[in-house]
Amino acid sequence: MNPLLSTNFDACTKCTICTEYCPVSQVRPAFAGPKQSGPDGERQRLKDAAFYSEALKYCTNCKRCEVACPSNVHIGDEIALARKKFAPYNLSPRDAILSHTDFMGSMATMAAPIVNFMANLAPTKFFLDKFLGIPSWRSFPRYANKTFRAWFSDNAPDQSVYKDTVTLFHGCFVNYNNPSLGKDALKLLNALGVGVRLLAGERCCGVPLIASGFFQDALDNATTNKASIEKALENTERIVIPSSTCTMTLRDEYPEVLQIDNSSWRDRIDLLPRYFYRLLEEGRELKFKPMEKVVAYHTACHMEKLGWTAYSIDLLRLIPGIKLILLPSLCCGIAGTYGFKKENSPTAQKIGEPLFDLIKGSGCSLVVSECETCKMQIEMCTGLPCENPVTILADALI
Amino acid sequence: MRFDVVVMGGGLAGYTCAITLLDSGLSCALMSIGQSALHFSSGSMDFLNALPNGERVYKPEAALEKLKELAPEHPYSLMGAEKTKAMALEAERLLNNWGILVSGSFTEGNHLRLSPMGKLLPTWLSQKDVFWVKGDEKPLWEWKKVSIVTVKDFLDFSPEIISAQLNDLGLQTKISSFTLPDLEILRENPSEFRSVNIARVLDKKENRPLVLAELKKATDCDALILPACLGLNHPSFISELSKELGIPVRIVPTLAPSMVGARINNHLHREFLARGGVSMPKDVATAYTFKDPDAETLTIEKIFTANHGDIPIRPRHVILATGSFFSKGLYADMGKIKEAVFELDLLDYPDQREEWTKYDFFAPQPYAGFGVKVDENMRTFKKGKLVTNLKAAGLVLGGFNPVLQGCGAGVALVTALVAAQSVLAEE
Ligand SMILES: Cc1cc2nc3c(=O)[nH]c(=O)nc-3n(C[C@H](O)[C@H](O)[C@H](O)COP(=O)(O)OP(=O)(O)OC[C@H]3O[C@@H](n4cnc5c(N)ncnc54)[C@H](O)[C@@H]3O)c2cc1C
Ligand code: SF4
Ligand code: SF4
Repeated sequence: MNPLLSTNFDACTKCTICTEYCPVSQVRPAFAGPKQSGPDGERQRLKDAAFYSEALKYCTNCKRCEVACPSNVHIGDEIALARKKFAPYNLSPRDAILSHTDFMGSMATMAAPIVNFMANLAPTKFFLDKFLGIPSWRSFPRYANKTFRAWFSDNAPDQSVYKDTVTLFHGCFVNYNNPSLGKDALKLLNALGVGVRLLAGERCCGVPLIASGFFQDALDNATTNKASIEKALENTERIVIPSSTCTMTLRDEYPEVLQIDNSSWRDRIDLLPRYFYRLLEEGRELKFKPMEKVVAYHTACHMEKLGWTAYSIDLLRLIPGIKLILLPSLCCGIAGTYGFKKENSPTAQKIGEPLFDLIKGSGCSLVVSECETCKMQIEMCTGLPCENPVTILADALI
Repeated sequence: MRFDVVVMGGGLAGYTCAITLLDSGLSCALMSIGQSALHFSSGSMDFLNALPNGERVYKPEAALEKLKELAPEHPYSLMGAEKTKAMALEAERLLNNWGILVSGSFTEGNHLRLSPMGKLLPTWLSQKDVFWVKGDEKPLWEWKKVSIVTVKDFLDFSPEIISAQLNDLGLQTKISSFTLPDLEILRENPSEFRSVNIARVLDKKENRPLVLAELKKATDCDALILPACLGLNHPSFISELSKELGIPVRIVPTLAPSMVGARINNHLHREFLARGGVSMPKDVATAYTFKDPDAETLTIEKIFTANHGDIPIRPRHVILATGSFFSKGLYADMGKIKEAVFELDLLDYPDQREEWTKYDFFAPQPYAGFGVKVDENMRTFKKGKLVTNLKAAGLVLGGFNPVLQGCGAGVALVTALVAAQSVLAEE
């Protein structure tokens, strides 16, 4: 069906609840808000493309509007689809750099020490700020010396000793920036008696490309991933993912925004804590040593959309001595590459302020979130470490 | 997933029940399709404003016996006057404990609140910073002259109408309006120039001195009345303004979205999380199983949901607080009214579809009284069999007309507390 002929917008009762919960409307009134940009705008755009507003690009695709809507209007999807259909082609080199994570990642890891050194030098930051529009005060994620994939093929313990196997979709952040999270996943899965395989060909899930308007590139990635996933599922039961955003993208953005049919495998995509949960339910065990820490759980926007926080919370509570604080679910503002763009940066910081205040006031020494960009933002803005629950669980493993 | 309790519905009833159960040490998850009716409510809580025959109620306590005669299926009637009173007092205590500071009292009787259209309406509890006045038919003013200060061009609040009504009731009034530079950008989208958006601007720290300066201009009176479009994120904002201006400042709910209602919802959500409750937003049950479907009584074993797919939730207790038609806890198809999740037994309603509604929109609507059938402990039934571990609370219940009788929040709070008690009694 042509998604633009969808009449989902008609379910809108005009209650304005979505606008109340949109993190962008809260701090950037120039953005017309989800109701106006989503269902109201959709009705008008169907009549005439001239009603398309450039301001739609301020939407971070956080989906909090959809979660709040009592009438199940797919507001965020409608906005993304309208951008796909109407937005002029994005020619910004900055956006291309930020969103083509595979290309940038493979280049940068080849020369990681130089890149990490250069990226934080004043002249580089000046150049990034002035010519590319990436604000100079923002710290950049460091690149790893060796990608996770390279480590996996050269150094990972033998995975063929395990009877059960699962396929890991590691995501760009694990591959290029934080391979240790991938290693932590391996450690836990192996402890549970499960061996790990990687996809034969894994590309970036595509979410940064969608956010920056590179829809064709996103579609190309999704098509490759779909083929790899379908192949992998011939031999393994499930695909597991450390990142909430990659998970949400493969499950929901592929069918809703990119019109990729994932119906035969959508339910076989698991966020890692959900998969651990399955294994524990089967009677397998994880033994943890005590951890006397106050840990604050932050619900990333896409975790809120997935509705899967219960698994991580349940698992973390298995660690003896841990004091887990559940923070109110608020956006940290970064929204993937959004906060890295100079024009969005003040918005991103303002969105995050209430969350940072809550974190700082909570008395925690560690924040936990399944999202890698939340990690960057929270660490930069609160000075506290922020880790994926997988890392925290792996650290506590006996 | 194992929880002691799963609550379905994140409104006043669902959160009240969940927080009470968490306080008793049970583990609790709460799932909700979307945000609740609180976002449209006045933020004041009604207990009982009228009897089914239209007779106005001033002291709910004194009217409960008569209510039992006229509406034996009303939740208050099922519970009995004594228990209803005990639960009402408990609700007052809990709300204040949770930091939702309310004025009003069940024992003293209803007070009057001001609607966005300037009508004085009876109610049970109002938040401390909301405009209310003692009195039953006639308000007992403490003030002679009030200033109504609105935000320029704000359409969801009508100072002229309010002023005229208050004049009729013996108060002198003065109207003024103000704007701030920060509000200009909001005006670019007139359809989004709404209470909650305005509150975000006016609540900002840097705008406080400007707000204060504007309000100072109107202080030649005994009290200030403002539309409820400030004090969203800082509930003490209004009392601080009062202090600084040296006269009482009160807010009046606007047309939806209702800031004073949303504020209660957000507050309850935080109290729930602070006690370790697990939130499952945007989720809904898609299937469920009974332990032994052929037994004399039914017991829910597993619940499958849209987000959790093949992983079932195995709750020991379930609370159904999914609201009425408006929130989709109940729905009507061509021939039948249904409870949306479990198809529970409902109170009797007319067979003929034409009898469900009245043509006159403003006439009392029969469907408003339809809903789930429960016993005095909020236990539910399916095809005549007791569902042992499923209690219902709030507007999903039948036997009362929340609009006509003005009893929505009272029923939600009281039935939620009874449902929680009934779970605890079985522990
Ligand atoms: C427009 C309006 C104004 C009102 N104003 C007032 C007022 O001023 N004063 C007053 O006392 N009362 C008022 N009421 C009555 C009000 O409904 C009650 O006071 C009370 O808030 C109802 O609480 P509840 O928890 O029973 O239901 P609701 O607030 O309706 O909450 C039900 C929740 O359940 C969710 N839900 C529905 N189906 C499912 C499902 N299958 N699974 C999971 N979740 C589900 C919904 O999304 C919703 O969040 C008003 C009602 C309306 C509709
Ligand atoms: S919350 Fe849903 S129904 Fe309400 S205005 Fe937004 S899209 Fe429409
Ligand atoms: S997806 Fe997020 S940013 Fe976009 S309109 Fe919805 S709530 Fe706002």
